[in-house]
This record gives sequence, structure tokens and C-alpha cells, in this order.
Amino acid sequence: MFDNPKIRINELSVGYDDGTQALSDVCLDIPENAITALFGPAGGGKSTLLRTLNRLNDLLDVSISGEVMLDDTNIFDRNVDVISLRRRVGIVFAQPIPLPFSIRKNITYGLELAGERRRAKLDDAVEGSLRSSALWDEVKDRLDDSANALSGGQQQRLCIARVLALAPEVLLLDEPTSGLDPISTAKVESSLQILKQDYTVVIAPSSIQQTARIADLAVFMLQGELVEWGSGEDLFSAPREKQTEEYITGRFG
Amino acid sequence: MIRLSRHHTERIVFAVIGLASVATAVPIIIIVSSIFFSGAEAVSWQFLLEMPRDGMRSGGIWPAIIGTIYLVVGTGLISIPLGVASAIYLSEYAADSYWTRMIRLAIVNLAGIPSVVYGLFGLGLFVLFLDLGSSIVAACLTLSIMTIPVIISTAEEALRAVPQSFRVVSVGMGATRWQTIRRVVLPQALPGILTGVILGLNRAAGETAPILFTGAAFFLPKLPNSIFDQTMALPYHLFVISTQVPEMPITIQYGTATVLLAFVLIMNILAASVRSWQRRKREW
Amino acid sequence: MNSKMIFNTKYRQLLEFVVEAIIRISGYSAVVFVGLIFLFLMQESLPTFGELQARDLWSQRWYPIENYFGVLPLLSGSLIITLGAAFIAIPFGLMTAIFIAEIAPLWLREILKPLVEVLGGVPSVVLGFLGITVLAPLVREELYLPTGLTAFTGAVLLAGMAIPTIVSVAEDALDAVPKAYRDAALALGATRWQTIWRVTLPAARSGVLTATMLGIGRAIGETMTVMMVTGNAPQMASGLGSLFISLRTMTATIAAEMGEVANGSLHYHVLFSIGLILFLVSLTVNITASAVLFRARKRTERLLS
Repeated sequence: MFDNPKIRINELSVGYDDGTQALSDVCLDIPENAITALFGPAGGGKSTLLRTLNRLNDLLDVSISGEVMLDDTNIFDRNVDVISLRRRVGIVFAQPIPLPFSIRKNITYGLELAGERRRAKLDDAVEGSLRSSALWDEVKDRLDDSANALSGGQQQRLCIARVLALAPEVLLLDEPTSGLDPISTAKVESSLQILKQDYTVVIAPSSIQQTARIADLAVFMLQGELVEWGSGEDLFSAPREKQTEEYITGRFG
Repeated sequence: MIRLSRHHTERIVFAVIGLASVATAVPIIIIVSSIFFSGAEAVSWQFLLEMPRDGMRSGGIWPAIIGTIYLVVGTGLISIPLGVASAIYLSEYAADSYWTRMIRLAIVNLAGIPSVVYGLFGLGLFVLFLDLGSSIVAACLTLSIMTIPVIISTAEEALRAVPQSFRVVSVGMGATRWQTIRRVVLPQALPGILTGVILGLNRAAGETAPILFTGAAFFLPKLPNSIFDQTMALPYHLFVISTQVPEMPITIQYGTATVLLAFVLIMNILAASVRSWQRRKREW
Repeated sequence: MNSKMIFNTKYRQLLEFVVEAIIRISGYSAVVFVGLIFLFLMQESLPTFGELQARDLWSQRWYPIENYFGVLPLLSGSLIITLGAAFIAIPFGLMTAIFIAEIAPLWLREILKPLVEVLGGVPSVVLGFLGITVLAPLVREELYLPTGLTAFTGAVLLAGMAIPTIVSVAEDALDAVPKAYRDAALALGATRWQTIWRVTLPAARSGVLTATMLGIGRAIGETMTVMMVTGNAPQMASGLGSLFISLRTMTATIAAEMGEVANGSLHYHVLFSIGLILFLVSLTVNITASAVLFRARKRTERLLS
């Protein structure tokens, strides 16, 4: 059912410098224009996998083997420009972390880094990305206010908008609704449904229920290994592995 | 009975400690107020803005004031970029290695070197070896080396206080390390850095020993023309008129002390207000 | 990717490289400066030992005009004045730190802390000036001395310069003791003083020790104040009685004489040797102080992990 993988992960292993093995021999095809949900108990390697996909782990001392093909290039190749990679593969974190700027500046920040100075372009990006993350109507009259004045849910949608402004191809979300109330969570989830039409979305959901609600492809991870994967419906109605079943039914983890 | 005596002991000990603190605090108030009280009558616009006359026994202290301003500005021009860059290295680039520990040890030691030793070093390196002569530039270089450890340690502290998550977010959006520092980390750390800069330069403004042989002049009939001239400076001037000039009117001495102390205290208050302004303003 | 963006990428990489190089070099500046200072002091003091024997230096007469370069009077002067200052500054400094950190109500703390900081900011010449005009006459009259410019006068003022260092470092150390320690002691029925004496102070002892050492380091290196108020007579100090005569320190000797010597003369080199001694003393004090702190931090990490 997914015959157009955007990212192909081959035998990816990641170890931290304190000796812990975060990922072991992970193989996975991530489809384009769909929501891929990584789920499983804490410490299963979901965050590590997400952070490896745009090489944010470069900031830490990690040892990596295997390959991650984004379209046709291995992102670990020596001649890959990490900066461009991070623009193509944007990431949103569990905690909404607005930069200490205004709402507008939070969104234009990434574009300005790349040297974009044309006011019209920047304004377009602000409006477009805020509309995509369903925040525009709430903040359009106070774009120059501090981003810290927003509520938690608004901040998280701002963080999504900020990444969208860079026009990435892949959107990584690491438990993006973990700190949010149910209403904000619903807003974020519904905007993801719209976003997947244009982007490849990889998400580590905050709960099993959320996985079930949004996953096109659901991937169960346990202690750094992929246990099984399948379309969201299949996996939740008829899990093949015993561990998956135990986790889904709540007898585990 | 034992209970009672325990509490008696406490009361006595607290009284002794409290009295010792009062004995520490009261002289400070006396020092500052007596200087200002006795100096107030000497300080006037003429005193501030005129050249000294009659072998410094009358007239003003303008060349000493302007000299101290030259020295502070010059020291800032050298020590701020170097100190802040060094702090950025320690906070943003350096790994926790043997060499980093060496740097930290060097900073601690630099901060503890007696000021007169800085003077000797400045004489040896800048005045004689580099042949800058006894000059404003040699004095500024000497004062800079003395100021740098203060700036480095406060600036590093301010940089480290900026949450790590801001850096991760910025890099995650495709910023380089330097872009992240310049656009996110530095602006957030600025007030803290400013506090350190003011404290460091304050020390430079009040020091005498490092400039004794590197650029301070006993008396100059006119203002310095270039950075290769000697200059008068407030602290050295106070030293000169209170020990080297016979029959010096006490009012001029007090007046000079008042100006120097006011200069230094205003800088201190400035640093303190920047610090509290920053605490109120910041959002993290 | 259009040509402008490629240019941007190249420019960005170059900028990044250059900036990082500058920052890395600056990072090592402190090490370079300490090294340079040591080097120059060594270079300028070495000729001393070609011309003078150790016993010429290790003698009791400092009279450079006739080539007597015995540094013992200066060493003993520095020593006794520093000891005198420490004798005053340590108890008063530590008690003030305890008072601010543990006993004083908040409003009093808000007054005392800035006040002590003000003292730390008073330039040494201003203290020296007050020493000459106020303290010295007082010492002379009250103690019936021929002159008020004595080691004792210097020691009192030096204590004033050391106290801010001692208070601020010791107060930081006391402040860093986890509140849980105090609560536990109080919950067991200890009085506040017992808590301070048996729990808080021992827990902060390395910081308190560091504070003391740095304060003393400050006193040894102080120049202008002692030069102005100790009378500057290079006499041998022997015993407590010497506190009430005029003495001269190593720092004051350099400051007073360096301006008048010919560059490259023996006198010049001897003064640099004294500078080298001061440098080594401050190095020892600071390295020991930071080693004490470092060990203490390790211990805390072990306890808390």
C-alpha cells in the first residue's frame, strides 16, 4: 500500500558515548504524504530515531552505523550539507520551545538564517505557515507580541508553523502534544491530517490512543528495535507479535 | 535546664555574630559618607572641568578625569571583544577536556595576580619589549589583561544561563553554530555580559599599580594628544596629591577622592540595575 | 538551489570557519597571558642571580643605593601585615557571611550584601587616602606612637580590602548548602545555631576555606593602600611588637622604586625578582584554593548522584 518511500532506513544503529545502544539494526521505509507513527514504551529509541533523521544527534557524541536514504542520498554522506538537510527535514519537540522573540520573528528566523530579507516573502511565509498550523486567526492581530505570551497549545502550533515556514519535505514531531490539553491536542491532530497532504510526517505520538487516531503507518518500537509495523488499522486490530498486543492492551510498559 | 542553656548559647552567639556584622558594615557607611561629606564642598563645575594650577594645589582635575575615561574606553575596546570571545569559547565550543581545565585554572590565576605584578609585566612587555613607551596604549593593554578574567567569568556564567533548548531549536531549524550564538544566545546573555563588563572596567578605573610604570603621568600641563602620550588618571592623581605634594589643600584631596569614589559607585549601581532589570525582563 | 543560495552557503561556511577560529584562539588567551607574565618575570629577574648570591638576598638590609638587596625586611613586612589583616578579616568576614546567609532577616540581607559589595568597589587609593588622613592620626594619638603610619594601620585597611572577597565567596558557599540538610537538622530538634555550627558550616567548609585563602591572597597582593599607610621603612619585623612600627611590603617596594630605577640595572632586576615571588605566591594560593573547591564539588556530586 505504500510504494513511494520518502525515507529508507537500512540497518541503522545508534549508540551514545556512555555505552547505551539506542537503536539496533533498524530497517524501515517511511512513506511520502502519510503519517508514520513511532510508538512504544519510553526508552524505545523513538526520539533517537527522529533526531537521527535530521542529524540533530550530531550535537551529541554518538556512533552511527547503517544508512538513511532521503530520496536518493544517504544523509550521513560526507558531502551532505547538514544545514540544508535540517531545512528539508524539520523537527518539532515535545515541549513547545518558542525562541525568545516575537511571534513573527519566530517564524521568519529560519528564513533569515538562509539569507531571505525580502519583506513580502517573509510576510507571505508568516501568514502561510500560521494558516497551515491553524494558528493564524488567533494571532494575526498580535504578530509582534512575545511568543511567550501564547498558551501552551498555541506555542506548539507556532513551533510547527516555524518549521513549516522553511518549506521542508519531511516533518518530524517528537510527542508534540504531550504537554497540551485535549482541545489543543485535537487542533494539532487535525492540522496534521491536512499537513500530510503536502509533507511526509513522522511522529512519536504521546499515547497509544493518539497513535490509533492518526497513524497511516504504525511502527512499534521496543528497546531500540522495531518489533512490527503495519497500517494503523491492521496493527491495532490484529497485532502479529505478542509484545505488541500486550503493549496495546495495556498489560505491558 | 539544658534546653534553656542551649537557647541561651544561641542567643549569645547570634548577638556576637550580629555585632561583628555591624562592626563590618558601619565603617563602610562611615568611609563612603565621610568622603562625600568632606568632598562635597570642593566639587564644582570648575573643579571638574579646569586644569590644575599652582603645582596642583588649586584649579581642577579635568586632565585626570579625561585620562581615566581614556583608559577605561581603551581597556574596554581591547578586553571586551577578547573576554567575550573567550567566554563564548568556554561556554559554546569547549569540551570538558584537560585543556579546558587549564584555561579555567589560568583564568582563576589571572584574577588573583597582584596588580603591581601586572604593572611589572606591562613595563616589561608593552613599554620596553614592544617599545610602546609609557603611554595610554601600554596602560590600556596592561589594564586589559587584568580586566579580562572578570569579563570572561561573568560572561560565561551569563551564556551558560541561556537554556540549552534554544540552541537545539535553532540548530534544528538549520542555523549554524555561530548563527545560533549571534542571533539567540548572545542577545539573551547580553545583560549578564554587560554587568560583567561594567564590573571589570570599574576595577580598571580604580586601579593605580598597573599604570604606575606603564602610562600614568605625575602632572601634565595639557591633555594627551595621541594614544602614545602619557596621561593623568584619577586614582594616580589622588595618590600623588595625598602623598607626594607638600602643603596640598585637604579639600582638593577630598574632592578628588569624592569624584573617584562617585565614578566607581555609579558604575557599581549601573551594574546592579542592569542585573535586576534583566531578572525582571527575561522570560525563561 | 539557485546561485544566490550557493553563494550564501559558501559565504556562510567561510564565515563560520573564520569566526570559530577567532573564538578558539581567544579561548586560550588566558593561558597565553599567564604564560607570558611568567616568562617576562623570569626573563627580567634571572640576571639577579648572576650578580647576587642567595645570601645577599637572604639578608636583613634593603638599601639599594649602596647595593644592599636583602629582601628579608620586605618579606617579613608583607608577612606580618598580611597576618595582621587576616587576623581581623577572617573572623569578621566569616561572621558577616554567616549573618547574611543564615541569620539576618531578608530586609537586612538586602542592605548588607550591597554594602559589602560597595566596600569591594572602593579603589585602594581611596582607602589609602582615608588611612593617611583619618586612621593614621587616630592610631598615633590613641596608641601614643611616634607615627600613625604603621604596619597595624596597613593591616586594618587591608582587612577592609579582604573582607568583601571573604564575605562573598563564603556566603555563596553557605548558600549552596541544600536546604534539606538544614530542615533535617531542625526537624531533629537542633537549634538554629546548632544547625549552623554542626551542619551548614561543615557542609560548606571547603567554600569557607577557599574564601579565606582568596581573601588572604587579595591582602598579600594589595599595593597602593599599604604603600600609602605603612610608613615604608624597610625594617625587619620580628614579633607582634613590629605591628606598631613602620614597615614596608614587597608590593610597595616595587611600586615605590620601579619608577626611579634605570632599566636593566641590578636594582631593576631585583624588583622583578620580587614580582616573581609575588606571582608564584598568588599562583600557589589560587591553585590550592581551586583544588579545594574542585575536590569539594566532586564530593558533592558523589553525594547527590
